[in-house]
Amino acid sequence: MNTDDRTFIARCLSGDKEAFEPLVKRYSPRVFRIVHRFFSDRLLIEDIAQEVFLKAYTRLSTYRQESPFENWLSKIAVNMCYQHLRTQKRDRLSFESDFTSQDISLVREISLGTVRSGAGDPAKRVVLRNLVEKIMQHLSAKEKVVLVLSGVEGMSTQEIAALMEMSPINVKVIKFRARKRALNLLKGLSRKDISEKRGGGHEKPM
Amino acid sequence: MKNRCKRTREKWDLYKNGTLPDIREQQAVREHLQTCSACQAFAYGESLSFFLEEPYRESPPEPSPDFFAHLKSRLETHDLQDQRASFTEIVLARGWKLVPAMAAIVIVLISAISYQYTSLSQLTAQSSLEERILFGDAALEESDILAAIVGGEVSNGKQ
Repeated sequence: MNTDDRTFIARCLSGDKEAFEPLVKRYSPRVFRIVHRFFSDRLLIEDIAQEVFLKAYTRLSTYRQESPFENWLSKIAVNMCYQHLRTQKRDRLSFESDFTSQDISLVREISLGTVRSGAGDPAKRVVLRNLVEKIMQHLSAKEKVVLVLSGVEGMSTQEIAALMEMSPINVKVIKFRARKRALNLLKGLSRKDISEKRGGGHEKPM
Repeated sequence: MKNRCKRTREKWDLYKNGTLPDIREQQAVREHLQTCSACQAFAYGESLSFFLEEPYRESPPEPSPDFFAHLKSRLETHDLQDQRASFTEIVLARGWKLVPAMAAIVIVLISAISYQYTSLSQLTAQSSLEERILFGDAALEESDILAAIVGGEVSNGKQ
């Protein structure tokens, strides 16, 4: 662990609240990055990040200095995001009306390989993110966390298992189930697109 | 699998990265994907990771100017908690996880106690009859004595 971190933590534990500030400044980019993986609303990201640091401070005495402080803080951040995701209402019933024709054509473009990684179109990326968030609404909180940690953060099954306090097998099962569900939603959207093209179905205004 | 499907899947990575050297091949893959539902399903599977990961590659927002000041003021009202969570806290936090374990312990205890009680009562009944025979209890019927002896022989025989 960083020796500076150790010094600041020791000072915090002896009652010096000012010593927590350098830790917050050092690790806020990491915390913001994690929270941003799960939420796009800026105010919500700030709120959750505040909660993460408050919890870290009040629980500082439980931190065993065997692993880096950053890892311990990340665990708090992921768990905090998980708690927030659990409180959000899951909406499985409005699948048909959730997606706009813009979403559907984007799904189609992705499957045809015409939207490529690193595409420099920020507007398209925003649409893509909104679409992924709508898809994610149809997954459970646990499925979302596992998908994001494995896909976006690039964590291994073992790392996710340790972070989420689950067995590695459980993580694998959740990941498989989540991918399958997301894939079925994408296929469903594609079918919707085809049936609309064939039957000239009603399109939701954008 | 049809040859066209096989070719499409073999060339998928190059096609997706836009690095297929022949423009006609690129066109052929695209046309095939538009008509073949099996290859569309394959393409969705292959695109899923990209689909789920790509929008998150943008940089996270920076903390707002008053983020640190706000956090600092909130920290003033918070204190460090004790070194370890107390037993009550653990039970309250993870109580629902302990329910099956507690239920199993209770069932095992009840089974063990009822088994002990049954064995003990049988043993007491047997030994009290033996004592009455040994001390020549006049109230005992001959048939009871005979039954006790035969029962004992049978049980000895079994052993």
